[in-house]
Amino acid sequence: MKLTQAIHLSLIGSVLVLAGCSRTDDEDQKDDDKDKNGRPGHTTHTHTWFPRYYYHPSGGSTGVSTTTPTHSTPSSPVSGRGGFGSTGHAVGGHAGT
Amino acid sequence: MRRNLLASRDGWQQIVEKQGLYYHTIDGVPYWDESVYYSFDAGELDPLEKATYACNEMCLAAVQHAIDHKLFDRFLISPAFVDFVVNSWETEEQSIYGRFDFCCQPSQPPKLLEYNADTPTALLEASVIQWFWLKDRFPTASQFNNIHERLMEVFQVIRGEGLPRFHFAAMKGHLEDYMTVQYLRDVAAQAGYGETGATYLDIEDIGWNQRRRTFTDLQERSLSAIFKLYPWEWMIREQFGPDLLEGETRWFEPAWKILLSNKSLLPLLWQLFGADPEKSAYLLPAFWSEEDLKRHLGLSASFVKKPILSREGCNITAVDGGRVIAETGGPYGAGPCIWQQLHRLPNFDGHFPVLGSWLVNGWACGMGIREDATPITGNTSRFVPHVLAQ
Repeated sequence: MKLTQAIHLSLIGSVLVLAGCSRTDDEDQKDDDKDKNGRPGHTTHTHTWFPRYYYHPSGGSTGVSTTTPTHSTPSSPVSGRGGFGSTGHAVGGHAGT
Repeated sequence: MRRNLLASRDGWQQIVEKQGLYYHTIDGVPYWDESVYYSFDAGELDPLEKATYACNEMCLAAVQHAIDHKLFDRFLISPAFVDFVVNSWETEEQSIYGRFDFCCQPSQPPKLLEYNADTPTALLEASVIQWFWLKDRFPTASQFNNIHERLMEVFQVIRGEGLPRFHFAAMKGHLEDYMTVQYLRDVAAQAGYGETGATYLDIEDIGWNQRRRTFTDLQERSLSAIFKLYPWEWMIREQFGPDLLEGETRWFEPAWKILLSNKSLLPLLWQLFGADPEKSAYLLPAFWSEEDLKRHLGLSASFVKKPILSREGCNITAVDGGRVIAETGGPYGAGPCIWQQLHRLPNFDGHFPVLGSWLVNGWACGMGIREDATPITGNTSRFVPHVLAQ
């Protein structure tokens, strides 16, 4: 294992522990083996992501509000806004592919 | 590669909603379709991983070639933005992710259909939703899926560059984009940015402060780093486009990805690597004109015509034996096109799967499968989970 990979794995382990999730030695070994072999898959990781966003099924004209309550009125509204987004709305699609 | 039927979990809609997938059904039809799954034998996905690394290598070489030979016209990049793109490349701005879409026929190398290099979605489905499905239905089986872990890594790398805050932006009012961005924001928060360091901002709410010559959020803070799920080809043509040349914001994906998220990449790859027996195995012949295609492949060559800047399977025409076999409409039909040799997708009883191979921080780290009842994969094509035998 390269040093950078070792650092990556160490950092990941720390983060997962902080997030309330731990990886077993067996899992780490499998990850090691996969990296060495260059083989995909065979993972037993536990995902730590759960929705922690704000979703309002009845909000907005589309039935969905995608504005988080962290937004607030600008204290110094000197920036111009709306300079991005026009093409996406004009083609009526979403921006992902 | 086998297509298998399986009863959906009771209350599957509520299950996947709890995991963040609110867009599981489109127009009354499941978009997340767990009544089906694909299974692979151990080692069967090795060629996909190999193809992903090979295509990434070729793509990076293609960027260098496009810059060295000033091919920006081919990519519809105006002269005003050339230095912006080149600077992004030469300073090696970090990329987060991309998704290669492959056609995988049995006993053949995966063939690259296109590269979603700038704004790929179906990320939450591939990284999280199909993983939890696997743990529910096949607890001892595996999956080609390290996407979450690799995303965590890449945000740690970026944080190490000293960027103090990270904003995440998507178009207002589009749930799929919003959830994709919120997932990335959450991973960044876990990777060290925290809830206050990784914040969401609608793309329309990005501000430009004339006096300070900087992009800002709604609190008038300068944007030091921002992930935007919004394509470069749109950004450079919009009102704030010229301000990109002045602002010191770090954009993700980086600006050099504009050369890879463009269909002109496909003929360029063929031009550079079509004669290489090993690398060309992953490519389909592609050309900038129908005449070139017919000169190289014959007058009766079957092809797919794609607008250079099209998205989501829009404005695609597939011609086989001189007959149009599939065609889609959309808003991108006016611009120039490329012609790519037609390569039939595998047909599982009328279902055509495309294998999306994820590249995160340079690692081939996972797969998501989309299938459709037509040979053209579009925005509503179903996402189907997969199982990899141990």
